[in-house]
Amino acid sequence: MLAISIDDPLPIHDQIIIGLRRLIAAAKVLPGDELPPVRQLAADLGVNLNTVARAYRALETEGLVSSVRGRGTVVLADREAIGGTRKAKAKRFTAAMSNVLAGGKLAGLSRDDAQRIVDQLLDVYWPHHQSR
Amino acid sequence: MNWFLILFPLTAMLFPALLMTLVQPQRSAKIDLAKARRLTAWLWLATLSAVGLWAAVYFAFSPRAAFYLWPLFFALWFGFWGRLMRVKNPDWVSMPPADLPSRSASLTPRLTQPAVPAWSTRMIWLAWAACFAAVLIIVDWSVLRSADAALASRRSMGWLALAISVGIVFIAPLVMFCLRLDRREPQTLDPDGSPELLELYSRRRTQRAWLFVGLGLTMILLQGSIAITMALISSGALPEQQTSTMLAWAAGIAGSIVGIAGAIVGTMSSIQAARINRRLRELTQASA
Repeated sequence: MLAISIDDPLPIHDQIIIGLRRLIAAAKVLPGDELPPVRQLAADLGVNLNTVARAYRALETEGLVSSVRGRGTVVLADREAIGGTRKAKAKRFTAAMSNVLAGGKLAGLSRDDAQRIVDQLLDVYWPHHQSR
Repeated sequence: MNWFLILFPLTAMLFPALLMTLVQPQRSAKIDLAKARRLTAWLWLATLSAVGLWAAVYFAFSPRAAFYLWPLFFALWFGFWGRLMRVKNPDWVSMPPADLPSRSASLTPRLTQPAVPAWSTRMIWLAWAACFAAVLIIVDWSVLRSADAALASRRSMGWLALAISVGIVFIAPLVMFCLRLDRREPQTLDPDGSPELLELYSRRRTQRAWLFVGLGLTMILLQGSIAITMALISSGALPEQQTSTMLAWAAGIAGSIVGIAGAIVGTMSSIQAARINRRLRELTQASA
């Protein structure tokens, strides 16, 4: 399920992109799965057609989805098509995680709280039976 | 039948205003009560004007002429009732509720999933084909080709039967279009994706789809029967004068029945929308 919040300062099309990326990463949506048509998702979320179309286009650029004639938008892969070495990707990930953990500490979370949240999220995106 | 000529248009014209009095204003700080009161006054003014016009035509001309003012209902419903409800209680006319802070959607494509089985829509085409075939068989082609002035009225009845039996074929694509619109109805969920809401949406879609199919089938059968009766008159199997009078009545009543059915579908749909929106809001607040 994809959720957006009208009160969130993040633009709605970014919320849709992030939501779909999370669902793909957590294998809630698998390669080959059809995404709902732009019209359906826009109606369900009560947003403009162009907002959803723009989010789908962004995911297409990242190589995560593809528009297939007669089938609509289909999930293509569970990996981004963006190039770069494993080391470079790990460096980007470390920087992003560092920001998030710093935010948690500044918000007053304890190390145990942070550890618990990270463990929960690791289980969502890297379940125990899936090592890669 | 005078009671029908009086009651039907009056009920149709008063219905939007009466229904409005039953709808409570939405309990939200964003509701502009002053504007709602203003639009309520406009709805009553328009309703009383419509009823006044009906009374004027009734007494100045005839009950039959006044009867044909019933479509003023549509102006009152869409022009005044709809505008008022968007202010007084938007849950009745808008899905999802505009003030819902968080909205969730299922990722299952449903536009290609029909709400009714394929045989039900095939029945509509079949009913049309049966009516058309019956008219083709019954109508007396020698009368249609004849230039005899004595047969003029039977001839025009025959051509009218053919025209109606061909014309009603457009009801079938109209029903398909309504079914497609039905599938496009929003299905906004709460953050937990409650199965109760999914069930409510599914029931609403299915009920509406069956009502569209039923309405389409009824319209084809009613108008098809009228065309077949005309074909029978044209072929001389039925007496022209008496049957024509009965036919006029039947057509009037059939049209009114379809109008009433349409109004019931619209009202039921609004009530269901309000119920779903209320539950959606409750579930969203509960999960916040």
